[in-house]
Amino acid sequence: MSRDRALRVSAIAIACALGTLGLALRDSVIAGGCAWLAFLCLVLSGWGWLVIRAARVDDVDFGLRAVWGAAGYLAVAGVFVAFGWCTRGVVLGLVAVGLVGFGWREWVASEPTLASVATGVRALRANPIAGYCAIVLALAMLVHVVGAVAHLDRNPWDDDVAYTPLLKRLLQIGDMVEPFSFRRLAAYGGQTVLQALVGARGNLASVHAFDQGLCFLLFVLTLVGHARSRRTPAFWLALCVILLALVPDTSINTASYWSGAVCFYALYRSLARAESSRDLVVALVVAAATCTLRMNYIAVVVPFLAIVFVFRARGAWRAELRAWRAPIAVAAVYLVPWAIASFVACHTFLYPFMAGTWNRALPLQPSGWAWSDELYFIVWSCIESQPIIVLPLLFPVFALASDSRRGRPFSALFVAGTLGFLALAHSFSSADAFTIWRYAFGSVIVTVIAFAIEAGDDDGPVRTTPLGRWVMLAALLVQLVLARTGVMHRYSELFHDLSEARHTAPASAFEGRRYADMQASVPRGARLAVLLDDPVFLDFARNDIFNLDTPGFASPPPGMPAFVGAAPARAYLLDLGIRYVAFVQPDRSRYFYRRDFWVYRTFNDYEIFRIMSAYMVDMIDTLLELQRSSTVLYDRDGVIVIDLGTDAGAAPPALAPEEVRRDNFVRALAEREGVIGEWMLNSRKDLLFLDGMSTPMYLEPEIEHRWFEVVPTEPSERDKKKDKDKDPTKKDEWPQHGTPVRYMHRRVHFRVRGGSDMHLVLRGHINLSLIYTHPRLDVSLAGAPLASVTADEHGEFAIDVVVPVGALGGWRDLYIIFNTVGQPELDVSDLKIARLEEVRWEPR
Amino acid sequence: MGTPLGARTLTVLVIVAPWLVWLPNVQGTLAVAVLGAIALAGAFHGWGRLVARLARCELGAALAIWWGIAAVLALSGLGIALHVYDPRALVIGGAVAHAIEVALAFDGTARALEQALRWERVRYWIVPFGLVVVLGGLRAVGAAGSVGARPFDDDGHVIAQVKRLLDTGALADPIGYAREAQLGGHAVLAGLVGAFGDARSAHAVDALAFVLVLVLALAELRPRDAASATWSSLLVIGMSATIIHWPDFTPQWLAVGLLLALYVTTDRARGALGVGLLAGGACVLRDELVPVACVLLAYAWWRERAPWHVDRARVLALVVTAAAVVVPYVLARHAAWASVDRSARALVEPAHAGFIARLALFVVVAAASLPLLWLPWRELGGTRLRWFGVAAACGFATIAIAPATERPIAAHYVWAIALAGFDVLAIEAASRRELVRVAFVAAALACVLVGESRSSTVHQAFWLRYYDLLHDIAYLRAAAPEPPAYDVLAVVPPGETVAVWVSRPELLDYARNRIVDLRTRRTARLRVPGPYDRRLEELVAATRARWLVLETDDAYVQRANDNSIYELACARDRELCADSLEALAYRHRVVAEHDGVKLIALREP
Repeated sequence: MSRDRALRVSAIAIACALGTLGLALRDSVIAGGCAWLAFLCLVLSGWGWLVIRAARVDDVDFGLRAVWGAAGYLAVAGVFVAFGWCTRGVVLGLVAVGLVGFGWREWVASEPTLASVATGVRALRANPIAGYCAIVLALAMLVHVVGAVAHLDRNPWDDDVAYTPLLKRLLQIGDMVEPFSFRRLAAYGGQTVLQALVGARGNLASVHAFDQGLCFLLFVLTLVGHARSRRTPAFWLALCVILLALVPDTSINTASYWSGAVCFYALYRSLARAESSRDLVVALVVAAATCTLRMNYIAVVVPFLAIVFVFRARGAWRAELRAWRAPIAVAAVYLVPWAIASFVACHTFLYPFMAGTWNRALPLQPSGWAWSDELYFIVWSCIESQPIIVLPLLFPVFALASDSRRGRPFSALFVAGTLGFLALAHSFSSADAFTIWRYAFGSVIVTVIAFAIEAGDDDGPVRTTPLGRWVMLAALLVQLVLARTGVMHRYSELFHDLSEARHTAPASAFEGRRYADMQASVPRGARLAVLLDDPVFLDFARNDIFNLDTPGFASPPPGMPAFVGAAPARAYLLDLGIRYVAFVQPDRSRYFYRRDFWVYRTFNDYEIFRIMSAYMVDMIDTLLELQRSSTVLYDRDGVIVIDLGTDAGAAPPALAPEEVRRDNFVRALAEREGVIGEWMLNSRKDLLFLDGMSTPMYLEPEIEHRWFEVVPTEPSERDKKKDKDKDPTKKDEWPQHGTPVRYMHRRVHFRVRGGSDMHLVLRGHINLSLIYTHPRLDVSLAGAPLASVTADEHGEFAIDVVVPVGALGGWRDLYIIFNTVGQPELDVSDLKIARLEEVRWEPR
Repeated sequence: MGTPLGARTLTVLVIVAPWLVWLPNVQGTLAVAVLGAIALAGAFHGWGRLVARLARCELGAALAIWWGIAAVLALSGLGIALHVYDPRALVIGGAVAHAIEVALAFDGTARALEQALRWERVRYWIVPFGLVVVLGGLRAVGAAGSVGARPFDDDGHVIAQVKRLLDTGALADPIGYAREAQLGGHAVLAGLVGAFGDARSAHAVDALAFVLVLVLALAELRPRDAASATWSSLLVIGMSATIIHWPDFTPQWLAVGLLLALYVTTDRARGALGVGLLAGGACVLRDELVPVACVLLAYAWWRERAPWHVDRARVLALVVTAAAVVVPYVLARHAAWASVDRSARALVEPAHAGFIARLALFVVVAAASLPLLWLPWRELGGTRLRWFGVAAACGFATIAIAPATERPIAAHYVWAIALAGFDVLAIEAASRRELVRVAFVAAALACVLVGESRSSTVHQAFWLRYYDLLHDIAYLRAAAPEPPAYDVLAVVPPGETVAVWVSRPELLDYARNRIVDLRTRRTARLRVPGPYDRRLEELVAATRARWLVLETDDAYVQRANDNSIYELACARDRELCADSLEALAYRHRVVAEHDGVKLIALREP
């Protein structure tokens, strides 16, 4: 056997060995997990070869080929998902196909993979300094990937309740039909199907191995391939790799982050190299794959393709249209199975344009939203860029770069990313800037990295000015400097994860048995709705399981009744054929279904979470009520299974709209729980607390008697994080109960509405010892003065006015302004000059 | 828009826009703030064009605006000296001049717009100007609604002085607005909002100046290719993001703009009149700017120096124009001080170290500042830049001697000079092709500024500033008129002098009575615990006031917090526990008392 043939056989043997090792060491997190991850890299590369052969395009570097392979895998897997056949066996079969593809390429490629590796090693030995740097960077990447495999912590909000159980369901029964899950609504499911590649090993513990491990690795490989094709100087490449290693981790769960980034990168590179219609087919397959990962990626992918098309079509649009016809058709066909699967699960294939199972009583925008609020949100989101902190400075550099390629892919990516970001901020304004950037991570990181690589090539097609290049360099360096604080903490956690992952977690075995016992109380094959901390331990093959996920957001028509008690809920569930319900007792829930936690959040959080909390508390109360009126089949360790019976009974019709019922429920809940003070300081149906005041807080008992000397201010999230970075064991020292207040600034802004004469009452205290005066409080509604009061000698103030219905109507702005706080010799810079203790806004 | 019809339509809009604020159906505060900013810019442009026409000097629109601001300062100086300051006349006059100028050059303007709106040009200026419109526009409009902004500078309550200007046409209160650190230029410019709004929106003028500074810088950078457009964008973002702790109501961006315009004008042919106006304008704005203005004035002379008989007219234009701006302000201040007894000045005049000590400090700091300018000098060269460096060093030195006096506020003007210097450097650097070190330093500096303002937790952090501004804009949509206040003054006969210590002096009627505002940073130090310190009483007597209006505040609470013995001894209201101001209410008859405000007849024991 020649040396060449031996190298080829060895590569194939290594691939087979890695796969075998991964399957054999099923319970080993690190060794088995890493072997399987390396195997999957080769498998995806094999899939990429199949795509190349099918499309009859030129071979590409390993990273890009693997992403093409992932797109090819998703194309085939989508069909299985649509039919509900995408079980573990099928996924393993698809893995085997990829392995065959790898072997095929290895056999016929001009140069064996191992020979390429040897060539690279020789090149590094010839240049020891570069070699040393490359080894250090490679080790850093390796640590990152292994750390992702060893990172077993899951987000109890998203992963424990929805994402991981969905993966388990897919592997067990082959579908993703979860009509009660709003997380299923917001994606076609491509991310879950890709995660199934890792889960198919038979171990779901390494939930981050796919996105943070495999996709991160593929991103780095794609970057290296891109840099080699551009002949980027080693310094630029090293800087980009270091940036990737140190970029702050903005992910909070196992949804798509690096998978989106690597797909966008592959899409960019595929479009940049696309000359023929066949190249475009591959590019649009990658585009379609990207769309399956998250719905909001569509808002970037579609304009990206459209802009590239427009640039390419200038002067010859008929010819270009002909060239694009087949690729567009392929992409459409690609997405059809995913759309079918989505429609079967959620009654929509284009959320949020088609609401599907989404609860229409829940708007995506906050109540009383005005154009100024939207403008504020967009400006805030644009300035507070994450994770690239100095992105505002890079914006003009990107905008002014010129791309001489046919489709101007870089300019198109930049414009499409910007449009997608604005669309996201517009449509999801109840979120915060961090969340918006989290969703936009994929396109943002690719724009930055792609520009850095392109700008590093003096003779490349993307031209920027020398100053633009300096700005890019300075931005990368500043980014590294600013990111330094979190790096140590992150890496210490990573090594902690590595040491922890060596031990298997016995808790999961106990929990698995407990859930199995519980499930055994339900007849095999019966429909079962669950509200459990860890649905991942359920056997989805045994019962037809509906995960209630986060109640209130999504449910099959006519919609889960909320805030109407147990009888309508029983009727609704029985109508869906769901006779059995398993839930965790609120005082025994591990995390997500703790009633007290949600009661607290109902009165101490932003609107979206207050609404979520109300639905959660209502669902928990409803299930407890159902427990009292139903047969209890299982009740152990806080997990309960009830049999709803067969008689739905007559449910009283709900007369008021859901928004009104929710508002009344929250009021009644506040009275029941003895937190009416908190309720009074929170937004409700006809009253919104806007700017000029703190979030609801509790007075600190130890400083209350001298509160005039210390103005307690809530530490910002950033300060809290800094404290945690310094001392991870530090507890949140702010009181969580007591007298609720909101600290007021000089101008306090509410928004109100009403259908009749309304009674407004506001009470509070002025901090006399901070401002040394008795300022008057002027109250105005929509620009018309309503009242003017002065605090008494103790600083107490009370505003009590009746607002005639004629002054109301739609939402109106209500302002309270302290007429002065200015002192000539004293700068009251932190205008927390008073506290608000009670706000009533009721029909007279 | 890059068509002849589009350009002509835009030109018509340019003529009409400054007049829209006076349309009868423009009622909302937000609309008035937006259109008012446009009216002010138009008026400044009109006055600037008029001066340029007088000087027969060719100017771009951006520089003309700053010439116009200097011209308005000059006219306002005459106005306050003669007690006839009228913001409406100034704005309307400027708007008329603007309309005539644009109408006369209609075809040329339309052609220029048409050229500018072609895609090959738009693609370069759209990004920096778009950033100016968003980041600057929000600031200019939002400032009009920032009711929480501090109204004081180191001389007094500026909003109240603006109200006084609008009511009386003069700044005649030597106690409430002593003008020890300036000559009143800021108040007269801030008072221009009186042409269409009320004194509360006075912060809007300096915020508008921020936009005008950026426009001037961009006009000089002329974003015509990727390099200049990148410089322009860097400048706009860097200036917008920079965290400057500037709590007092002082002319930050007006100072930056006047210095920048002065620097730019020194290079213009036939620019002597403009240089004089701008230098004079800077001098009346703040004392800290005087040395910078003087050095640049000297450079303007030196640049085209010639024998006296040849250069006489130009030198006279430089010096006389600058003096013509400054002198009316000096006279107005002198007249104000003449209206009170001499003893008053001794009580409020800031203490300072001796002249020799201050001079020594000045020289040391000026010399120490020069090495800072090494990089731009070495890389960029240029005589004008060196002169600016010397001017900046002198400015820093002037500010540095402030700790030797009682003017801590002066330190903030380091930023004004530094920001003007940053603009100047960007303008100079953008015209060079190969600038490795300067380009990298500028890029790194901008990144650091943005990074710092992003990661900062202080209230001036980048997004928090815009958070406040956008809420200020939201407030403008539903702003309520000021409620009436200080009814007790109704019993005071018109024309009589009233000394006041009230929290909202901007609500007083300055036309009805001669009002002296005691509540300033300098007089506050005379208000001391105990009734025996007579300095404040002497000050009130020196103002020849017959009445005192005193608003009850919680100075008592402050004293009680500081001293527990005092708290025990003064549990009840008694003269012994009063401070030096409250004691006046015990020594004289309280004529009226309402809502915490006492009217005291000072001539009646």
